[in-house]
Amino acid sequence: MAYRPATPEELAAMIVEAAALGRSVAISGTGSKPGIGPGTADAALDVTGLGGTITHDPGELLLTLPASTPLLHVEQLLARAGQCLAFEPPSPDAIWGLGHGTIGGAAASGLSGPRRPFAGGCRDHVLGLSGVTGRGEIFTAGGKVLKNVTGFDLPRLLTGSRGTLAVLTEITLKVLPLAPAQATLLLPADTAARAVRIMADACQIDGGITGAAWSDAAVHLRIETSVAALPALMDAARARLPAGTVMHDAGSRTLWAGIASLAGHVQADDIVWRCPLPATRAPALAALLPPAARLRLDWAGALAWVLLPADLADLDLHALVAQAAGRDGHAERLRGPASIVPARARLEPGLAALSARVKAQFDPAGILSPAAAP
Amino acid sequence: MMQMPAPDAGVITRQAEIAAALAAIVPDGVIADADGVSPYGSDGLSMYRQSPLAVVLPRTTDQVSRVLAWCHANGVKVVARGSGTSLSGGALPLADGIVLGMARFNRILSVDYDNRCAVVQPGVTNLAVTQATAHKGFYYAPDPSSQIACSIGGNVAENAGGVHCLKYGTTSPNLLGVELVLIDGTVLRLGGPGQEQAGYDLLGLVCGSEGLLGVVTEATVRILPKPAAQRALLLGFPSVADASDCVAAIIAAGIIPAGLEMMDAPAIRAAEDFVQAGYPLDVAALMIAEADGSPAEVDDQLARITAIAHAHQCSHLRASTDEAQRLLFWAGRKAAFPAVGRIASDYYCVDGTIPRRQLGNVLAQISAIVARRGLSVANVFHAGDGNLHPLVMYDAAVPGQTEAAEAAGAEILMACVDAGGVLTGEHGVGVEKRDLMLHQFTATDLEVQSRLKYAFDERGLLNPGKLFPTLSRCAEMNAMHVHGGRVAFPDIPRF
Repeated sequence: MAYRPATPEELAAMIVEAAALGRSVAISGTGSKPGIGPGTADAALDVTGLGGTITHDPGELLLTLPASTPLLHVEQLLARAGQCLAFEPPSPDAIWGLGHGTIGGAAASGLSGPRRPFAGGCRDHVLGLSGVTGRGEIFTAGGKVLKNVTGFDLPRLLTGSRGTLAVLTEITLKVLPLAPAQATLLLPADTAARAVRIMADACQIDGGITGAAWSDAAVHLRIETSVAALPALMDAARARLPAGTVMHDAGSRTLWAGIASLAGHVQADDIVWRCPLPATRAPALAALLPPAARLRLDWAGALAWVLLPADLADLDLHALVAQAAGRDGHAERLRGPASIVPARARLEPGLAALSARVKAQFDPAGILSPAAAP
Repeated sequence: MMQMPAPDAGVITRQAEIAAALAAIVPDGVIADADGVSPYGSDGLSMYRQSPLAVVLPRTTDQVSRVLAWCHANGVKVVARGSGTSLSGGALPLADGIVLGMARFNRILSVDYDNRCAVVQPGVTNLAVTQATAHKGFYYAPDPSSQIACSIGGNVAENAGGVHCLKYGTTSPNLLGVELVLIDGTVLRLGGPGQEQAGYDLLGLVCGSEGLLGVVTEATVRILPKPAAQRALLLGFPSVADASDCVAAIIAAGIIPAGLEMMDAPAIRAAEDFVQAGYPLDVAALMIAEADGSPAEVDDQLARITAIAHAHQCSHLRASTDEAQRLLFWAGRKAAFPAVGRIASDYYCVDGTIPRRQLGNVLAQISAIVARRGLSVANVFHAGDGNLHPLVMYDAAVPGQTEAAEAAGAEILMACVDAGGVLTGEHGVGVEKRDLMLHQFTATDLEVQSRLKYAFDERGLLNPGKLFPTLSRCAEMNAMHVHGGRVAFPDIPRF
């Protein structure tokens, strides 16, 4: 059984029908992120038929587009105007091999790339949206301006809600100028502890850093700015940081695309765990990992990617992250074989109860991607 | 006068009993006498005044939890209050409710420079976070006008902004976590020193929820390394249209200045008369463009802005050469509200956001709206993000002018919405814009939003009567009213 609406009105009617029948629907765009959603349900709800017009307004820093728009198309469109999505939505293709997905999927998953600590996350760039609730109501939230505090902030709540509260049909994003020049400093760091120390020191000074990551025994520090200002910023960074090498322009861009998506990092059979935590707790997590685990750090250490060989499928990363970071971190398995360890940990009871009440207000019948609900 | 939900006479008659029960939870922190509660009767929107049933001043999260649980069990409404500087009536009390004053939560609990965050209690002032981290070269980016007085808890409730939002965002992007107490006393942690929480982004929902969803008892905020350099340009233009086009061209050139402010001729004259900032008086629009970052970035950005300005008929250009001059450029802008207060017996500050390209159109409408009502206006804008603050001047002593100013304010906000904008860019909806919400949202849109209230506060005890319209639409709304040239907290600079 599959629904494939062509208009928001058709979508609303289908949801009303599904709710009346108690038929759950797995909401999906191009299905590029199977580890995040939607999981199993009674019927598929394919939203790629929901078209619409794309309105890019470079002068207003705004982009409004149908949720079904391919992410690659968005990035190319913006690049032609010298703009970008500052939160660098990571391509899911390296992890799942199912393409780059849609902008709706990027917003619904809420994932953010390396610029997260410096330019904000996905949640900070979704200004407005339209969608359909689990009650079949067509609604709009937020606005099409940069600065807006009118009403409850539904754009932030719905970003990252994985299709469990509403089906997104149209999204308005804040877009920003693409820095014309960039370079990356590579500094040797053989342990996570040393890497986190270097990244924390680097970020104590305002020096144009827009990426700080660690892999393959090197800290990578990206600086983005104008062509005119880049040499001075690079000189200043090199003067105050340990000795290293520099990678420019295209090489730097390729490097960071890989850091964002894990392309070139993840191997065919790896189990992939994504673990946000305070940067200073990353060394403690590193110390708890078995030798066969490979660790990558992004977000200046606040995002740990743990890549495990297939024989470590039952390693409980939830427990290790809790041991390293207490309540301040969490882990999610994005890819891997069936395991006794769940992909996601349960929320604390108070938070779980509140989240269930929030879900019930949007979707009282519990039909929207129920397997992906927190 | 704005209609609030009809008070529950049964609750009011139980005042002594309620005060006694709450005093058992917070022994030294309950005020229930008429003189004692009177100072809490109003916030920055001083035209509205209502004494609460009692004021409770807790010191600990446990006390907050027990007070809320007691109020929940006994059907008593609660209005949380930080420093009381809200310009939208967010902290306006209820006759049948208590005010939960968070002023005693006044400690900075920890600063973590390696994770670049600070954990603070909600009664800490906005500026205190910057002051506490300045010795290490850090600061807290959101800078609402009232930052010397307004509290972090209030900033979280209102998702407060400031003059640097275009580059650094309002409160929400700078907020990493909160400890939140629900009306039933449940204590939750949302977010924390990391960059991302598990599950729904409830932190994002709570920020800007205007005290309707819970009470914040602790906040983890992002701190940033202070820019190595900050310099400003003062730019004068022969028309507002030229200045608006210049703003658009700066953004279109891929420049995101740290600040991009504009004033029209009446605002320039009032500010210059008041603080002698050296503003040119022969221009129709004045812009302050500020760049920050490394000296190389700042030089580069200001050179490009200068070139763009010259291409847009800029008739006056000065660059700050030192910190004193930069602050002088800002002094006039920051004093614009009290400056207008000197030339008008009363003024009324409106807060809407529009797409920047609509600036000329909406300004013309604003002029027509106020002229039609026999009033005048001075305009200041956060031009970079399209946030307008028209100051409608009137004289409350002249019969009918207060009503005319209020009606003009409502009309201006509706014009903002009609131009593709929104009702509030940074002051919040509160009571003042509550009844205009249906001009921006459909009934369904509002229902989807307001249902969330039930997930957090099913009985509607937290700050009822704010943000969502009541059934009877009311004509009086929106704005900071200033009477006799005096505003609440007159010594706070207003942006």
